[in-house]
Amino acid sequence: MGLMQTICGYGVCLFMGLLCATLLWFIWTDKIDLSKVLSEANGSASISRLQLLIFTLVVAISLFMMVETNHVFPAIPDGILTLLGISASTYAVGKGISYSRDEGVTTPEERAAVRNSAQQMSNTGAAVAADASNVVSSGADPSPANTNN
Amino acid sequence: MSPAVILGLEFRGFLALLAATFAYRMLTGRLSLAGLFADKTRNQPVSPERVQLLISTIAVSARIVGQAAHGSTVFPTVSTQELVVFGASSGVYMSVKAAKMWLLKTI
Repeated sequence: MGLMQTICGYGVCLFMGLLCATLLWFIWTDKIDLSKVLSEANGSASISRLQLLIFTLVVAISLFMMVETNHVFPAIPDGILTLLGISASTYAVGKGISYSRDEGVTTPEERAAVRNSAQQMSNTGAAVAADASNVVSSGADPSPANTNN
Repeated sequence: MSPAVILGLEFRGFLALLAATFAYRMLTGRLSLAGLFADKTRNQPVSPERVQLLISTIAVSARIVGQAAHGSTVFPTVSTQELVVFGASSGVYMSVKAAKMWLLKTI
């Protein structure tokens, strides 16, 4: 029983070590891409994402330190759960507010490109419709050659 | 060396390397923090509600980590007053953000 327990213990150590090393290797080689982890859809950094990341790391590190010191998984107080809830709610509501407008999900360059395209088409006299994803379309050509019947 | 000690060292190393990776990438710009404090709707470089939210976040986080690192046997707690302050800070941030978006719609 004791030998089996020791073998299982070292097996878990080996597995967790390989898992941690693999995760770090994938992060360093950009197979796990973290470059946009703090970015909003419009490309700029998000304070609510950073806040959620900080609290997640803080609670995880605190849990690790407590378990390592006391060798017992501690009970999580209600205050900490409320704190995480406030942080996650801030992130979710902020995301909802951002997605309520094109300005929250497109970059200034994308909006400028759409405006320029729309202006160019407008100069030609065509009916123009443009949206935030840079899709520009004009109305049907009213010339007699294109009208059937 | 017992498995528990090895696991402790592995996790400690993993967390330290992960934190170092985040810090290095933030410093070298590969983890973009551009526009973190910026008010995008008005094109201003600093937005007060974002700064106060970050300050309250760092203050609460530092207290939790400090309490945990102090060798306490119970998980750090957050007082009701701290929760109210932090909730108010988040509320101010969201309210100002929503108001700016609403003003943008009406302009």
